[in-house]
Amino acid sequence: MTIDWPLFWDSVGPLAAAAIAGTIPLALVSFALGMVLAVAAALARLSRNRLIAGVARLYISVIRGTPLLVHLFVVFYGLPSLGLTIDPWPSAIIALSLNVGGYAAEVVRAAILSVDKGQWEAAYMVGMPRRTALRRVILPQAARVATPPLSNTFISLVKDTSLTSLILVSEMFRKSQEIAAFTQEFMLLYVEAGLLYWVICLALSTGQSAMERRLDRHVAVAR
Amino acid sequence: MSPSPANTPAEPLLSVSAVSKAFGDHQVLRAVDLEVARGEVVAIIGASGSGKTTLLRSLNGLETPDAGVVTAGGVAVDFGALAAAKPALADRQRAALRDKSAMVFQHYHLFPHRTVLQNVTEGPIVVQKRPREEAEREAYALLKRVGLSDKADAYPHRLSGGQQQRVGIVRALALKPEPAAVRRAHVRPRSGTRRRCVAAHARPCRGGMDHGRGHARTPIRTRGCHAGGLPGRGQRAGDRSATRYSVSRARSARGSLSAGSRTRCKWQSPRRRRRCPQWALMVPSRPSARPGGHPRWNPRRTPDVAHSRQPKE
Repeated sequence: MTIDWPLFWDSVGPLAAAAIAGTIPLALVSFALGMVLAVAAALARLSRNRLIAGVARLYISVIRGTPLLVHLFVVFYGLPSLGLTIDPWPSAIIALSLNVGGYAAEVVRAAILSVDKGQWEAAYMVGMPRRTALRRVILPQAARVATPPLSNTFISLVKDTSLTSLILVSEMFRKSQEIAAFTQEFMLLYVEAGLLYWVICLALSTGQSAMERRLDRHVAVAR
Repeated sequence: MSPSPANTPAEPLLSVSAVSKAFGDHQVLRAVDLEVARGEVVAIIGASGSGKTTLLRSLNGLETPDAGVVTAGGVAVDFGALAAAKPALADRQRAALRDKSAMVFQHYHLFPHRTVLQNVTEGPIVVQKRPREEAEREAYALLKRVGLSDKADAYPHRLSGGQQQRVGIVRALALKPEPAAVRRAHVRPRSGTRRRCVAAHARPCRGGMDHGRGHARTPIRTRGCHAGGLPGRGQRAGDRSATRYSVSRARSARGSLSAGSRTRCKWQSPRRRRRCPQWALMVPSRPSARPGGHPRWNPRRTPDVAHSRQPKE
């Protein structure tokens, strides 16, 4: 098999453009919204109110127990039959955010629980109500614990955006499908798309290390 | 800050009445009564597992007793009624109690993501909403008194255990707890530092503490032990299942503490007798009437604390 290098180099541009215009913003927006959901769901699960905790538990269970592809299809193809038609982009963001929220909620909950109980007590001693204690004392420390697993979630999310090509979102993988269909060079284009995902994820891993170093700066860490 | 009733000697600044607490089947506190007047230093002594910690944590609302009333600086919380109350109300009551006291934890529990200065000013700025410059000025003054001025911008993990403990003390004092600062004495700073710490607290009328093993050498006079209403008086050591501890009191003379004898506890073995209280609780006295300061503590000889006078507030 010969590699069609001119096609390879010609297609890098459009694919990278699709990544910058599609994959990356989709991942960033979904992750940001997903984290809001995740923190809310984690706090709800830790709530003293049984009803709130129960709702959060149900949400997490449903999200983790059903495939992302099903979520995407339900939102994009299913909801129109209920009279609710959503464009590809918003559909993708909704489904991905819900997904991230469900998975990250458990990470956030574990991180909050991992903070020493004494920190809560010290915050209470200083006179903080629960909410302030959480915001100023507990969450900053939980962030350190949560960073590695959340980076994992984010990297998965970047790759999961390729599923949105099935609901017509014009992100990188969809672009590679289009070019492959036109040129009949399937192997080349799909491997190339894979390489570009890999490059993005390498950059993210570097970002993760930098962030961990920053969060660890006030803590004596065994290395 | 509550005004004058606390200034009348008859009125206890802190009182505990009939406080009980059980963890499962284990009755830790059995109707404990305790009253502490202004200017008094009280050490609570007892074998491990006898409920000292539980009692002190109850004073700060960190533990919720099953029954009993804690009154601190005019705020009374009936824990028996609290159990039935709504969680939000219970939280508010505990918060009110916390406003009146401060605590130094056995393991310090400094905020690791904040500098020493931020640890100290967190309460005054975030909770008490005091102006930043004022809070920082006071924090610097307090840190100077415990010899940690140069560590203000360090993070806790850079400090030694003893230094962390002193930051914990300063953090508690910065809250200006009106009736009492409560402290678990555990680590024993070297004697020079210890004396400075004690002096730093004892003299300027905010609350204090007593240090570990070297209690006999710290300038606190204890008047032996008496188990004022506390259960288990005179029980033999070794009977670990029973609740027993004693309160040793030191009345400060005119607001400053005087050098004194060692703590005695009847039921402790001779070897243990020499040990000092593991818990100490001190209620602030009014500012010293003795301008020269403490008889054994001479500020002029310790340059580090030469400026330790309480700043004008």
